Amino acid sequence: MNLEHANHKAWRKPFLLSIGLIAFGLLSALVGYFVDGHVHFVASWLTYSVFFIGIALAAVFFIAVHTIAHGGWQVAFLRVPEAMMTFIFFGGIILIITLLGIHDLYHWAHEELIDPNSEYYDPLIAHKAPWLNVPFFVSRTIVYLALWIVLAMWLRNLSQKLDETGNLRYWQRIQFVSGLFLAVFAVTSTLSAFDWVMSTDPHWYSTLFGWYLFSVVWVSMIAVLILWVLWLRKHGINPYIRDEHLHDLGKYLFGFSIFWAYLWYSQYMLHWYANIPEETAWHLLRFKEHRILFYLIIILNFGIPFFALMSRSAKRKPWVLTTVALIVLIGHVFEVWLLVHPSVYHAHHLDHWTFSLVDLGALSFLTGLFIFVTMLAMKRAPIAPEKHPYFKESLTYKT
Amino acid sequence: MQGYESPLRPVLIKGEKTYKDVTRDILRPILGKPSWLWYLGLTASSLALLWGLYAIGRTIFFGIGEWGINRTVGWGWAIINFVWWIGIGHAGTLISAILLLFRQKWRTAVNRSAEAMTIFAVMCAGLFPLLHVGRHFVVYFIYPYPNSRGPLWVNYNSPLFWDVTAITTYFLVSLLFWYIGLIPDLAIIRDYTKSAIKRKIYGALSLGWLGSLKQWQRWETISLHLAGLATPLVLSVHSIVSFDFATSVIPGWHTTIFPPYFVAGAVFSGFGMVLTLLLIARKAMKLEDYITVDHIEYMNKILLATGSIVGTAYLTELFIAWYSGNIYEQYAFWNRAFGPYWWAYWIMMACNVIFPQTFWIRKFRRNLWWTFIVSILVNIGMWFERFVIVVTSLHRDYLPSSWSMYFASWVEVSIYIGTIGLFFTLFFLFIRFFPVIAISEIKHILLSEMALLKRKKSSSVVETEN
Repeated sequence: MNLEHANHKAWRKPFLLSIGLIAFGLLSALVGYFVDGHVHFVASWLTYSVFFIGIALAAVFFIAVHTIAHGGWQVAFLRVPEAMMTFIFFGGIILIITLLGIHDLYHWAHEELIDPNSEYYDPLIAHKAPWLNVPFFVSRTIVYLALWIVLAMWLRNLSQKLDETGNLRYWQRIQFVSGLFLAVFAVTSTLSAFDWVMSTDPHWYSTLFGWYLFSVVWVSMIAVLILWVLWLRKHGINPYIRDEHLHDLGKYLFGFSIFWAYLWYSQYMLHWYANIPEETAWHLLRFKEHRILFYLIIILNFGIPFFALMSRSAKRKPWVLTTVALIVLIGHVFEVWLLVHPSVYHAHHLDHWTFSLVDLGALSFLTGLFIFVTMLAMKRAPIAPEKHPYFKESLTYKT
Repeated sequence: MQGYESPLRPVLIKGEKTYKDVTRDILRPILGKPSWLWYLGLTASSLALLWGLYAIGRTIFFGIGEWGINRTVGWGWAIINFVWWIGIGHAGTLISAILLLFRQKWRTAVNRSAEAMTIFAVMCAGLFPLLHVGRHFVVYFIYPYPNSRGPLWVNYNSPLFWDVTAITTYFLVSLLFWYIGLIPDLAIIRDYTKSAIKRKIYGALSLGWLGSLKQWQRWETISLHLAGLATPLVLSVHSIVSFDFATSVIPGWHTTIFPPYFVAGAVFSGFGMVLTLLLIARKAMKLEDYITVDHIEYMNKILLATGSIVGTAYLTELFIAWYSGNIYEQYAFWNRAFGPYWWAYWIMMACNVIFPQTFWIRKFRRNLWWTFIVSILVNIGMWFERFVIVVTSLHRDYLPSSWSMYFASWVEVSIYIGTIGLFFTLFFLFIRFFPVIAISEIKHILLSEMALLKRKKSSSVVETEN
């Protein structure tokens, strides 16, 4: 295996950055715990562990879907999503630890709500109890994570074997596992979104929510991918990355930002139009208590990428791509916050705080860990799958 | 699009061909005499069309009372057929716009006929709301323009009006896209035909195309711009059709997953129809060298993907109906599966969810007979999907005293048959007078495909796709 790239001097920077973020994250989460309180603390860790697991999961989806569709252009930087997906394991551990605070996170986890003799009896939550109960919820969480981790590691393993041997039998197996993953993903992505995020408000429901949350993490994954690809190219660590790759990734960021807006609008507009209180309550809470964030995410996630990335030349300029990718990431960081926190506070009858120290702590810790894990995984495999059957296509294609 | 291509990829044109071969093969049905099969097909479909016209005449003369709809089920076959036809059109737009952006070269063999199909399908679709409004003599009121009727404007808050806007746009853009794509090919026919009248007509239609560098450059630019315009249309048109239902408060209609799920279903049904048409056309017109088994396999993969998305959406709806705790939602879905229209629900489930799943296996994807059967089943299944959505949600509403059943009258059935007649009449005329495959676009990929063929022959790599 050719691992020369692992000795490149430039790796020091992301290493130091990730250590710094982890240290800062731990410190501010700790301080934030005492400033903001227990509920806010667990809500932040839930939000951002789900967000980064989602990004890692979207990376597996990226690989699987391009394999199945016989895409050739992405091969030069395929090792980046392959590295990103190793994070599911680490994010999963943090999520499971966070679930120790399940009673603070999820209103439905309180036994008295489903006891008909209790004064707090809630018939709706009692109706959902066969699905929303602590043992089943935790087992489901473990099953989702286990399935994703096994399939992702299998893909990574096969990809490296293909690299060592050049035997196309491994390529066939990669296709098989990709198909398997997509079938598993179709079910688990929606259910996990319902469980982890939607059930923070157990009264509210939306059939689109699973696909909507997928669009959030998918766009975020593309933004992270762009940042890594640009960095690898800037330092010459991956010499195969060309302007064409940037252009196509820019198209993805542009196109899927519109796709995100489409799904956001579909969900919001249909609830707004039908005006059924059970459904509008969820949106109203966010609109009333966090109006600035409510509008801000639309500008950051749709307005800016839409106008900034429209022209061809913009998609080929590293500084434009970096800026837009960062803006989109910030937008989705705020957005996932907005999906979880208001519901959790509302269930506790707490005041509606905005983004604060403890959120920054969880976010920077997980960002640091994500960078660290991805970096390590990239160093442990050749920087490009040179024996991939479509490798040469990736080096010569034109957009 | 140029550059190295892996020998793992299939060659999209069978046999060693030159530019001249391409022109000759594709123009053969236009320049030669049509076979008796073509006359038979045209006659049969025109008769169906005439029958439909008679039923339309009755509807206009006697009114909507000729239909089976009633006070409870106010939307019947008309809206079902409307949504079904609009959905079928989506494959054409997806192939010509989205697959162009995704650099799928195989689209070049199927885009022309799929785009033609889109236009004809939208025409058939547009007929139904036109008839259903009842007052046909004032149907132009739907267009908002400053008028002499006092301050009388359309209701901009109504999704039905959004629909009119979306579909008009869709039709115009699809027509433009199709026609502009045809221009270089029409010029080829002009240059090849021996008849003076035909030369005049095709000459006028080709707008004086000479094939100069400047013209090609302009043509490429406009094609790309139209593709950019058509891409959001693929998503928006059927999303807006879904808003007709989803903005209401009717159980089974009001659900947020509707927009993307309708779009996936539309693409699914569109590819069902494209496959049905092309499997016949490639055989009848001897175009097997251009529409290969690999093309069929690609389309079957799209069928599998969109069918699975639709299946996931069905299951999500069922789950949320239970999860919501809303008794009306729960009843609506129970009634779909086990109520008086249970057969429609299970036909839909079998045709849309179960049969396309066989395409996970390569053998089934490449079996033309099986593909043909599944493509027909998909057309049927998607019709029943709209039947299930429209009829089962309406016939038992909130008030049990107004529950009723709905069965279509022979007039409704005849209008539907008439639109199928219209569709196939136009399609038969299209394959007679226009090149069914985009000649210029096939020529665009000819060099790279022939290079790939050469490399495949010299390379020791065996076919290893699963």
